[in-house]
Amino acid sequence: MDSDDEIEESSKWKGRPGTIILINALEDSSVTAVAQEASCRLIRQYLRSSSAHIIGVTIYGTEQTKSAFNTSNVVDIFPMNVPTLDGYKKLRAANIESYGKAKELILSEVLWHCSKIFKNCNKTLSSKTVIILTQLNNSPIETDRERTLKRVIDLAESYTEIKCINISMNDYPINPFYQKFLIEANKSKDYILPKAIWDSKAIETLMYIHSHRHLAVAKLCFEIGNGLSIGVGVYSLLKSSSQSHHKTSKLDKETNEVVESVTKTTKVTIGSGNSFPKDDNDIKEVPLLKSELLFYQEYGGERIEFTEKEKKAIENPFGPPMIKLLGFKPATILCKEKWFLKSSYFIFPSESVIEGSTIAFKALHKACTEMNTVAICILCTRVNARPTIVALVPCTNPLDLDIEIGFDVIFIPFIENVRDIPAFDNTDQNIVVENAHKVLMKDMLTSLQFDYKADMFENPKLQSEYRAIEAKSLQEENMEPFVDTTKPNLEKFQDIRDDLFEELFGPFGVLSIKRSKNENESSINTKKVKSEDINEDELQEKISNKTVDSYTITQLKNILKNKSTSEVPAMTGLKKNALVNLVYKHCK
Amino acid sequence: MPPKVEQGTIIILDIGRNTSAKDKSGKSFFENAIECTKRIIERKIMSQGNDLIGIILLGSKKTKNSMAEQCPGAFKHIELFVELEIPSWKMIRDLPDMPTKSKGDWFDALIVAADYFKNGVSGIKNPNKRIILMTNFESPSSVDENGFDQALNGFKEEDFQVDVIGCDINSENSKNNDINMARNFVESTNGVTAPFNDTMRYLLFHKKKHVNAMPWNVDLCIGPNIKIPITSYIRLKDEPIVKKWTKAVRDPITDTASSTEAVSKKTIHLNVENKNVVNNELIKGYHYGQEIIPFFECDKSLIYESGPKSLIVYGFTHSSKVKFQNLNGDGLSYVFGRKGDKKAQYAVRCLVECLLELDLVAIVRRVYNNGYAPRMFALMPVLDSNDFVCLSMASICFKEEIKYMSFPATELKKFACTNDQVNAFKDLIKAMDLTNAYDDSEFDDNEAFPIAETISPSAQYILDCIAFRAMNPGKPLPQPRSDIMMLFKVPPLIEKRAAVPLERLKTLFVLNKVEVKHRIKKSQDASVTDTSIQAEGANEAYNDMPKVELCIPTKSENIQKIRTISPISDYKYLLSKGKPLNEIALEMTGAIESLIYSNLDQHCSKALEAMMFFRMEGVKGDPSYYNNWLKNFKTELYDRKRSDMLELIKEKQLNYIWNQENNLSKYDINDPEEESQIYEMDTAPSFTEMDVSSEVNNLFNDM
Repeated sequence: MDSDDEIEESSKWKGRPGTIILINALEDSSVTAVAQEASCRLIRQYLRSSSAHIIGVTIYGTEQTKSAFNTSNVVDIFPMNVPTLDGYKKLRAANIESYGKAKELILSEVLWHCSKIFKNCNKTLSSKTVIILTQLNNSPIETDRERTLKRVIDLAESYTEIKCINISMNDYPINPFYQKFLIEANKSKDYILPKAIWDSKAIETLMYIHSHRHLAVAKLCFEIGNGLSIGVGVYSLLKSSSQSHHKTSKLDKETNEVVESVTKTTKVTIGSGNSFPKDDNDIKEVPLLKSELLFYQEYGGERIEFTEKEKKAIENPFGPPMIKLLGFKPATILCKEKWFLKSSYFIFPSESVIEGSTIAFKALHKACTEMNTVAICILCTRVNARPTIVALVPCTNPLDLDIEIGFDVIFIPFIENVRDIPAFDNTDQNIVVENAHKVLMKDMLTSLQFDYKADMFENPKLQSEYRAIEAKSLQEENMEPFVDTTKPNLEKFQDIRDDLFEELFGPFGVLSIKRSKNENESSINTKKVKSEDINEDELQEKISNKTVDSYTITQLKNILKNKSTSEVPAMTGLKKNALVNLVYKHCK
Repeated sequence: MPPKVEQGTIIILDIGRNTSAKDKSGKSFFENAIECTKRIIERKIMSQGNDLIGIILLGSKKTKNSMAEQCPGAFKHIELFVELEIPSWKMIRDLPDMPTKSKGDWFDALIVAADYFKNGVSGIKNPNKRIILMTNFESPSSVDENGFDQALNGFKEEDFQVDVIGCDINSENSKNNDINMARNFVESTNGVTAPFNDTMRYLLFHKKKHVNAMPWNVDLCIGPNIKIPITSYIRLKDEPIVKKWTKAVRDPITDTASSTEAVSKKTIHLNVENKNVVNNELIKGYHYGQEIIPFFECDKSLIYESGPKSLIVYGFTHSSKVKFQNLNGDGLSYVFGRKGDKKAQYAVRCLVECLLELDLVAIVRRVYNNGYAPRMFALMPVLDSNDFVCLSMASICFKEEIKYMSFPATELKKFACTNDQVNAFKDLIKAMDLTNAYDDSEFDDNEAFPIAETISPSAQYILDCIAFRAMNPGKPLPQPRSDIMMLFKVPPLIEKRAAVPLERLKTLFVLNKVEVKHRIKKSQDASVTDTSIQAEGANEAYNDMPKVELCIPTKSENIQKIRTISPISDYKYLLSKGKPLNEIALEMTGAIESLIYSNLDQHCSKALEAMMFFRMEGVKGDPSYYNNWLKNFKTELYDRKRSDMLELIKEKQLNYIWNQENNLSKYDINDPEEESQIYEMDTAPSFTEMDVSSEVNNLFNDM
């Protein structure tokens, strides 16, 4: 679950996201246990994806002190770093209760501790996030409140995001101190109180959302018309299906060390014509200069050549990345069952490109929703991307995520993307489906109905790979059992009337088998006729005159089958020449 | 096996004397016909299909055809110029470049073409026989009615299609009897006819690449016992426009691909000792955090078995649950009941109708081939405009593919939009309705950018370039044609209609473009140097004067801020004018940074001088300006990999103003925290030691 592969063009995204997870030890042990479990899951998630994120876990409000800067009542489980197996094991093994509980909560020190950690981080950070796992009912001691708020302001000003995750089984009145806290953390009067949350999986997801970097595919000025543009970020909410594999490297079998793979492009001399050098040693390898390189395509039997520069130039002559409105169409034109070409993008207003974009974006969103229309645009996300036509479809909560507003960016297929379906014998419009059949079918459909959710299927191959690796590397005994979510629960199918279905609709495949049998018979017959056709004298004459190639391939094969004097090798896939040679060889 | 041929086309090209006259546009029939022929051949080449082309020249000087061989003296001036073969660039190059003085009989040419199809072509199975006749019928045929009817029947029997291009043969009451005959021919053979203009417009864009449809056959399983045989074909796919480019070495003499040298690409794997490890000595290792776990050490029993090739129904869900967002994959396939199995087709048909009536879609687990990783797909009912009644299949996402992004809250007061604003957008939507984009007369259909019928500009341009290069080797490539660029433009009528609502929108929203931050910095830097250069120019005597002291009185009136040219004196001057220290400090650091980053003076001597001065000011007064700035500056230097500068700062003792130098400083030389910070800042640990020790030494000396 990460998107490192998305290369953001702007240089300000250099670096990696840094996150400090703070767990409040003053809370009830059930709360800290949930917090610990969720943090473990998060770290494991990052281990699985071998992510370059930088994460530290710190317990605060402890009686003991075990921290980098001797900040009192703070225990660092592991310092901020790329997640390691070791760190994960430490966190899993940590007994938060054993650190004791501090007499009073001094939050300002904890936040000061965080800013010191960030300051001392020797890696370039693209973002700084503090995630606090706590309940929001106990404020720091009186004397510390002002100081805490000051620290929050300091952190917020140094672009550190502070997120509170409210771990609780049920809702409770949130201490007013935390409202002030959130106002300062958000640098604005508008804030949203975090909802109580108890499930460690949900907390993990929430922490993942907060800690993750969200790189835009592109940040663009969306040109509505001449002189009117809205700033938007283009995102992909999904990783492409081909990316969701486990990161692997090649290892040397002997040592289990990673090998370095180098691809060399060289220039070799090939003998003119067919005479390839017999020995590898004969080939002279010379370094290839880039200017010597040509690229070609074969069309009309000729090589059409381009230099590297030309090849680049023809791939996108249409200028820099852009998104431009062409007009609107009714939303009904977009049928997913007809026009799905590739995974959609998602756009969200970007105040960092154009200030005031959010309001205009919302107005457009509302207008499109109410009029049930979609915006048709031309989109080019990268300098080297092909421009495409897209439809912007207003949406809320895509993939059931907590995203208030946005447009799905749906790729509209070009004529070049459509393939012809071969002429088919079932396009007969006159098939009338009998009502009784429909009743049975509908009964079956409704009995197998379920509510689809975007996150209900896990990739079973990946999940079992993770478990195999974790079984080895963590030596964990209480492994989560592996459930293959892609396979249906067979119990649900017990009630369907498959016998009746077979009776009404079946049997399948009978006709096709019959047909192929007939075909076989007829072809055998024709073959026999043909083989009888071949005149022995004529054959011998042709052999002696070296004119066997006047036979057709079928005839040649038949000759070889029926008239050969010696064992003939397999003939499938042979070219005519080869068959002719076989005839000379075997039919004398 | 001979290649499977889809279509064989013979073009009868009239190049006789009758084609040389120029029309109103200044082009002769001959020129138009050649251009059109070229385009037809080019399109056939570029689509890489299995079509064959042959060319017969009508009105040629030569007579070369088998009919003439059989009946000497007849079928004159008809030349079988190119036999039916795979279209090539050579065909285009070899086309005649001017009309002849001869004349031929178009009807005879048709007979020659038909005879060639029947008797001249051997070994090619040719299901679709087409003859394109390009003539202006100004050279009348000598055929009589009897012969005509006989020929026409023959053509119908043999299933030839005759098209006439370049001549309007549709007017019923044409006086030219030949035209009436030709029309009869076209109509009876289900041919088409069009003038050159329309033909060229039709041929404007490249045909899509020819792809053979590959069926994927499997049983659709519902529960353990219901198995419906189905076939699926890819319907939509985003494919690369051209095949992978092949690399070649350029021959320096001919400037084309060398025939004696080739590009060889090899991947070698080096172990820690830099030795080559051969492929079968390699194993796969999984990354887990920072560790790499060798694959063979994993428990094989935990490796997933996906099972045989299959398509298994998981269940059915309401169609609104599966949105475009959920689809993640590569295009769309259409699923039919297995070919030849009427029962399966009936069952699929029934399933489609029931899904439509209940507004459901099926979710299925697909294993493409034995052992392949499974994926989940949605099976959705389709009633296609091409009369396909089938299911369409698209991949849906796995949980692991969801990125769980978060975005800032928008439901805030400051982002509220008014009804006016929404209504203004509604007006724009009404004005920019693309389903009514053209005047009725202009095109057949009023919709702009119809789905799946619009051409891809990049695909067309790349193919254009390849075709251009093939015919014009060595010449620079053309820019995209305006026909292609149309796609980037709002249709003119829509643009006109949108003008008013657009102006209204502009008044309703405040939209300010944010300049990218570092760019502002750069431009400021530039302006700093610019103004100073101007100032320099304004006072030409400046360069001749002794440097530091004199520039203050001479330009004192102009100085508003610290410039890179003389930061120290500017600093002193502005301070004396009573400018607040925090502003001066900011300007000072700005000047120092631009001096260093812009490399105006090579050894940074001026910058270092300025730093030294600025630091001394801090030691005397408030150290925080220097210290705070230096902290960020060092980070910046570190990021920019300017270790040279970091070295210099160390060397010139320009580090933080220590607490011991000015007790207002919070930087304590003995504070381990700050020490570690410095340590982190630099790659060389010695830096801290040396730096600190020198500072400490100084300090102790002073004491």
